[in-house]
Amino acid sequence: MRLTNYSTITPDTPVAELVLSNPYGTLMLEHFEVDLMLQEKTVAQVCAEAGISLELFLTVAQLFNGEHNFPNLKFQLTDVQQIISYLKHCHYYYTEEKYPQIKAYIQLLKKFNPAPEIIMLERFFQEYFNEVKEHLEYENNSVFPYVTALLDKLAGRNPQISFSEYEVSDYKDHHDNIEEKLSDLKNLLIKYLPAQNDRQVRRKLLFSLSELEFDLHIHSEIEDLILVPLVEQIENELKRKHEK
Amino acid sequence: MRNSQIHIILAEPSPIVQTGIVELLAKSGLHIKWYEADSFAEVQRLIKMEAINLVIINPQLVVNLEKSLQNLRSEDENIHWIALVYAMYDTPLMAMFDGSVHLGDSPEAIASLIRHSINEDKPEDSANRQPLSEREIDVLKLLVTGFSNKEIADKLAISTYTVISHRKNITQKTGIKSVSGLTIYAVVKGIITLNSVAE
Repeated sequence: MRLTNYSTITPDTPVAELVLSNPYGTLMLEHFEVDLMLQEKTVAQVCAEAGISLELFLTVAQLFNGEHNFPNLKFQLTDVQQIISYLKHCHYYYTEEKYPQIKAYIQLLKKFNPAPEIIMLERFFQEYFNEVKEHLEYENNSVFPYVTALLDKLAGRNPQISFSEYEVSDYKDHHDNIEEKLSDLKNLLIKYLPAQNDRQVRRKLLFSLSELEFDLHIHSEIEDLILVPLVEQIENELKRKHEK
Repeated sequence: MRNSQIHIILAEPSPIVQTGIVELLAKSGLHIKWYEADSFAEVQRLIKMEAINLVIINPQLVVNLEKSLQNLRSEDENIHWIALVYAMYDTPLMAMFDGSVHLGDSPEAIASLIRHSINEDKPEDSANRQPLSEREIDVLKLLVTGFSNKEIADKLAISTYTVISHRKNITQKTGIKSVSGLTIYAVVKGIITLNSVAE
């Protein structure tokens, strides 16, 4: 299932065309800190201007295009900081924009339709949001600094870091949980929750949830497919050095 | 259906009858994989080991084992059970089966009964529209009241493995995975009342 008119994305693909055929592309550019007014620029040109790793941009663009198979990804250690920066922008978008927006829609929904089930939904979302915040903070405050410290160590600097603490592969399971509850929310709103003059607000809420779901899934894939393998590679390299 | 091959257990003590049924149905055009059993224990073992669609069984093998049969049926509700009868049986026993074939029935009649019972359930599509079974509702009630898989298994006298399989089916039918999401579902459907929700 391709989400744009392009089956493969190459360095010569015009970025504007990607965004025109799949508006979610705007989010990708935002996470990369690229502004619109793309004119006829190709992927290669946009990356060169913004100093983005071509390999990384192409991989993320393919993810946004609905691709899930990446047989041989080859990233450089220099890409790690860019990946972290991209992920931090995702986090900011979730916590500062998307979740508050969804929360506001649920409150509005409750105003139109104060059924006990809707009140339960509000509490469900609140608990879920707290879980998500905790997970994102854990990434911001523990995982990312740990990865940066690993890079420092590899470069021969001497950060305070202890390897026995944890390894990065520990945190993969968190994602499933986050995506599951989001899908539960959609199912409840579409299939089960009693409707009562809330048609428009329910639609807005669903669109908002879908937008979040789309971006969140890619964010998880970037962590699982790109960041975690890269970091495991660094961990192993350091262990080898350490043993010598 | 899985590649249209039907997996059938034929539980019948008489080798003559067994061979006869297998032979006659070989010409029916049905693509059947037979598992032969001569006791209820063997049927239980086969159901655990293999992906069975249908059991054709001589009711004599379940006389005085009605409880075990009920448990086995509630563990996997997708398996159809057909009684293979030589004579008349009392109705309560026959009520435990989905249908029956008589020794005097023509091979065509038996084949059409098999076809019919298999085509009744197209797993993916119909599972999503079916309401929950009584057993699934029992599990759901306990689950949203805050019990663990293990506690639910003890309360309902089934294995933890069976509880997990019920939970899988509940999620498949409702589309909802998390316990807190299922709680809201249960309230909407009137399966539990608001004040029994685990805080």
